[in-house]
Amino acid sequence: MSIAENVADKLMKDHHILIEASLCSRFRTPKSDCSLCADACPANAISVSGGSAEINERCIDCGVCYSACPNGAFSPMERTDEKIMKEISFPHSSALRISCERGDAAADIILPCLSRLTEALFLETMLREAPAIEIAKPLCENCPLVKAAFHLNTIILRTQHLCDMLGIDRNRISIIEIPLQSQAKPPEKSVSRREFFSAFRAKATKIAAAAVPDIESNDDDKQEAFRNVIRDRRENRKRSALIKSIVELGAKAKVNQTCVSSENAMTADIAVGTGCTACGVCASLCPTGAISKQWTEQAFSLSFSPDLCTNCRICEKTCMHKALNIKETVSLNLLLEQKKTLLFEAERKTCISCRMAFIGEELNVCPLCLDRNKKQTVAFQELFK
Amino acid sequence: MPELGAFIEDELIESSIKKKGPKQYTIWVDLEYCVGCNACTMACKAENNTPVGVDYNRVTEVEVGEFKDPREKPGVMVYFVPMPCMHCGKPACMAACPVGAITKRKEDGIVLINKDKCIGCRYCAWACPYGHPQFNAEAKVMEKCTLCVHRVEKGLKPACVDTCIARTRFFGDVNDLIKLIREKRAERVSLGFIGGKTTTDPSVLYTK
Repeated sequence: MSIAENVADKLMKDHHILIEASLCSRFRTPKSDCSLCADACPANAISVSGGSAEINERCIDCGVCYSACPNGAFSPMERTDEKIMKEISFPHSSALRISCERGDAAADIILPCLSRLTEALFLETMLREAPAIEIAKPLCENCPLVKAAFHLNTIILRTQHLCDMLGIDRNRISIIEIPLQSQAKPPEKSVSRREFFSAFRAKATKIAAAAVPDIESNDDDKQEAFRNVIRDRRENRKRSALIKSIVELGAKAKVNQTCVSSENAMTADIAVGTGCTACGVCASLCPTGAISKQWTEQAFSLSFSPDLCTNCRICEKTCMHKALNIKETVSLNLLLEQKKTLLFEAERKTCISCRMAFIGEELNVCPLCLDRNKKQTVAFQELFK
Repeated sequence: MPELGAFIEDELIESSIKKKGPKQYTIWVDLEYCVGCNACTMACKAENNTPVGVDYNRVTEVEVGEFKDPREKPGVMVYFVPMPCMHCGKPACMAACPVGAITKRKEDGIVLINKDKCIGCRYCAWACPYGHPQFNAEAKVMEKCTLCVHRVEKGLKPACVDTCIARTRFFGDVNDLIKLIREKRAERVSLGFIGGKTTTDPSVLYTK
């Protein structure tokens, strides 16, 4: 690809919503079946089949994917949560009204779709002492963006759980149903900025190519190995912002113990059983670095930071020995405590056969070497039977 | 006197290597002629530059039979079984890999590990019914027999096949090799796959 094409691609692709692939569960392991972004995307602009989430030209920049991805793989470039908060002046005397482009035009915050809301946005408004939050919700069933509608309920439910934990009255958030307004320009008919640029792409590339000397970029050769990409962990900014709000709110009020079912929870509680073989896959593949492994001279240990965990369940899905399990209920207070807990610890031994460090009950031969011998014996028996 | 079955004309197999279209390359080992010299192991080590402890091809001694009455003909035999990767039809390693680093090439059926993706978790070694993939502690990745893919792509045979002093290893498409075995050896040998042909559909052929 020539530089000119690269420039053109960058201009078009990087403008609205950025994807940090290393945070995407699908990128980290093909065993992940996460499709939260694609399920919520109202424009069907996200595909997750190609090894990582990808946004195509149908994108309408609504930002629902940012809200849907727990790992923070998406980041809106224009209207971030911070910028949305800046649109409101605090202290706010009356109830804060949030609506969408097809709802109440006089609302304090108008989002492209109400599913763009995040738990952090709710908590941030409560932190700034908004007396109440009213969500002016038009009838989503008739909206072209209906596909994203279910996500709003998830966000509200999770926020209510957090409110319970932080000792905030969950009724401070209320939903008011209003009629669906017609939009001057319905999103699916309008020419998006992306399409607009796409139309010019071919010509612009040609002109740019003529202007810029055509040096073949060596990006393909230098492409970083997958191994290194997953090792350099990126910060889950969405989670950092949420934790910041939770901690600030938690300092103000009396905190209640809140346990929720782990199905839709924002974090998870993990237990590691004796089946662990110290392979470290859970720690290597965890997108947010919630699980970390450590080899010392004497021992192998796994530790867990629940505040980073997004309950993506990669660890449970990839654990070959089924040693790692996610508990059925999780205490949301783990988010607040920010404690690194020890999940698992075992004595380090060295295998006399393969010279590798291992853990287990065997004295001096690792379970993998034993397993290999056993398997080969069976295989030979089969051959010479 | 039995014919010297190990000598099968090169041309017979050459044609299968040159064949176009999807195929399953594999190795046929005639255990009757393997003398356990480990020349294949060494050739493989030299060709693939593997570190100490990592061998893509290992020769195992297997004792068969039982020693009964000393006055009768002894019923005991030792076979030398060279074990490369079986380049299975349904590779268990590929299914187990948590990062999708293992692929089976459509055009020639060779199972390869992408070392840029591999995270060295050893799941493939756990999953492989032959325990074949091995951990390279220097590079921190798993390695396995590639059927000398770099040579095969140039139209050469794998190093172990070229080097075999007893000419007991043959390289080619699995169906052509089976046909050849049936033609040349059908009366004397039995065809086998290590571990049977049930679970992962291994392709390497053994005759004894």
